[in-house]
Amino acid sequence: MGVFTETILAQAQACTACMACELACGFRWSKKMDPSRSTIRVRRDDATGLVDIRVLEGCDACIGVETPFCVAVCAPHVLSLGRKRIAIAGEGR
Amino acid sequence: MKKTGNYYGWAGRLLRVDLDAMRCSVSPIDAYREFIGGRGMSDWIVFEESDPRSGPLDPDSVVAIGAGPLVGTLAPAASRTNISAKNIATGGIATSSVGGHFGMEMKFAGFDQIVVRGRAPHPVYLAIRNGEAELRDARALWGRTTWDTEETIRKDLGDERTRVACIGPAGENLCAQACVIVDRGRAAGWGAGAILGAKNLKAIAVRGSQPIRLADPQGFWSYNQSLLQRVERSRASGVLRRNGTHGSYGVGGPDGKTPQGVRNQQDEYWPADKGQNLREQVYREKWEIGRTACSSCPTSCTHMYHLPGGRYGPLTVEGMHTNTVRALGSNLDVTDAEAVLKGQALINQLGLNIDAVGSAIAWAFEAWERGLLTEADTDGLELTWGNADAMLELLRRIATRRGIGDLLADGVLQAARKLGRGSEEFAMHAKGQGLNEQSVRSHKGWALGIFTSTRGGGHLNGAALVERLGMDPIKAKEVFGNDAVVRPEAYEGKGAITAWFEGFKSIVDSVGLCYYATYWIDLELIGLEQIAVLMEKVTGVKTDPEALARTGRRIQNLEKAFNTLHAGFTRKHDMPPLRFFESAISGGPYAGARLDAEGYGRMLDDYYAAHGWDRDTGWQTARCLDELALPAVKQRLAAAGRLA
Repeated sequence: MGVFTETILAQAQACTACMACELACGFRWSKKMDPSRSTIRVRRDDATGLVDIRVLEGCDACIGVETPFCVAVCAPHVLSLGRKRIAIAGEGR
Repeated sequence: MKKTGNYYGWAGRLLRVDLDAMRCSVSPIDAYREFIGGRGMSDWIVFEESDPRSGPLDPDSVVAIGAGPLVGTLAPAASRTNISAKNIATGGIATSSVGGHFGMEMKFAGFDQIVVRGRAPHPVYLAIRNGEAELRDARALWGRTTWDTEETIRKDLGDERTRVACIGPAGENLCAQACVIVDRGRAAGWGAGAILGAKNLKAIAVRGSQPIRLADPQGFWSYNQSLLQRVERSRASGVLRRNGTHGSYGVGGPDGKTPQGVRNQQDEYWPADKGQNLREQVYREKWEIGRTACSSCPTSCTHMYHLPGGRYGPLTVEGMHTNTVRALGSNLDVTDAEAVLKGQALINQLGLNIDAVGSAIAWAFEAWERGLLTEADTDGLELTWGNADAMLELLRRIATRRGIGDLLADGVLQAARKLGRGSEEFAMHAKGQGLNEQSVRSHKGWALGIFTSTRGGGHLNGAALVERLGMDPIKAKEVFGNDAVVRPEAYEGKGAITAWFEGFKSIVDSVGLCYYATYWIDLELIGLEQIAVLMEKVTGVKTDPEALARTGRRIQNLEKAFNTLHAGFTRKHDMPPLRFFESAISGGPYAGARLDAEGYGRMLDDYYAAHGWDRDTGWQTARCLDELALPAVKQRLAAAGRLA
């Protein structure tokens, strides 16, 4: 049960760590190039090439916008708009 | 540190680092903005502040590191950092553009330029964070590889998002081929590593969260989205994305027939039975684990490889690019794919420039073939063509100046001069800069661009890559004024195209874009028109393609004047080594091709005419410098008696 909400889905193994998503997300919030404002975080381990992508609290999947900013700039198409289930407090008791 | 002004695009600040006094200071960039940023701004600082009597390794030499106004934005592939300094190999200007994420972080840390001079009393590294700069003790890092250095500095500063540009043992040992390594696998070459080594500056670390303001945020976003789509849909970008530079332009490229430097560039035909061992597909199928990109790059041309075992594993390494496969493969007749990958890792770890070190090793192999070097000179190492172990061992010895490595570490020309006995004839260099090239005999405009390059020699300035990739003649005529670029064998028309690309690349390097998102590979990609729109929307400064082209010519003329003043170059220094005239390509689709002296001379005449320079000396003219409003440059050349 619960409700479904839109969210950003990531396939980290194909990510090239170009950081465009962080810039785009920061732009969405500030209209500047400001990745410190981004609610998506990409971390690449340079030694192994492995990438970790985290969608942080505060991301609203650019509600009201057809294509979220991070998805719009993701050249390897790692990011997409999807749905996730959110449990409602008290549910399942 | 106080903010020095409100800018769009630019961070607005220049950091000066005086290592003699161990002091940092900040100033505004206004005085330098006429040269945009990145390479143009760095060039002007180095030109203004360098004494022709000082050597690049002297304490008072100046190194300028710059990231242009588009760096740190979402503009396609706006990732580049430029380093300008006096060139160890040539005595003229050294410029080098490096990708990765350093430039972006440098902007967020609050700086467009970092200017370093002096010599620290002991090894230090420069840590920059949000407008603050600090020199920290690096004695414990001295002797460490670039990979160790980056990892240690990140731990030291306690921030895994810190970006590091550093030198390896090659820079510390003042090798002429030493470069600065960024993000473990991206290199700024041309001896910059040795200059930092001479200054006792092991690394520069940057981290910041200062936003870059946009003059027209919404307009930038909309326009930039259309550019991103243009880059993504381009055929040339698609080829590069799939194959990397290695598979697109290198050994066994798309047609398997691209001319390559073979055996110290004695030939440019490598038979298929050899080339097939080093094809990009071989690496992709056996060892590729992913792709990686520089900041804001939609193309991601770099492959990640992992060797799980074997002689060199476990080893994870970025690469390789076409220059690596040529320098460590075909040009040494080495066909061992794993050894070449190991070589790629070594040059990055040791901080060596692939072109310069490759030419020195190839020269040594040829000297061995001719009996001019023997086991007595090499401590038993056999420098026979195809000997991968010797190649790897020479990389280590050069970086540490051990044995024969000490001879080679001063660069191919100096090594040949020391050895003598006719070995200068096969030292493959331009103006003293070691060459690692391909398609020189077959593609005449490409060749001209290599040998007129202000950094000494190399294909990254005026050499028209589109001449090798094929293109629409109508579009070519529209851009260059002639369509000669579609005829590789033609000499006519190439001078103007080379001069055009020199100015264009000066702008690309100054705003901070990567060549692979531009006209260099496809005239459907980003040209001056698109750069003008981006600049206006990011910085708010109104400009147009003509104004940008003029600024590009001004930057080119700065570098040219630096070379004339500091190194005394004239027309003869723009000539290729005799080998390219005397021996033809032995096989493949370009069999029989070689440079013709008379044809090359005509091309050079046309090139000087296109720049407004003197045909006989190659020097700049008063008229040209007046037109470009460079009075200080004119005055210095006139005072030196080197103005035509």
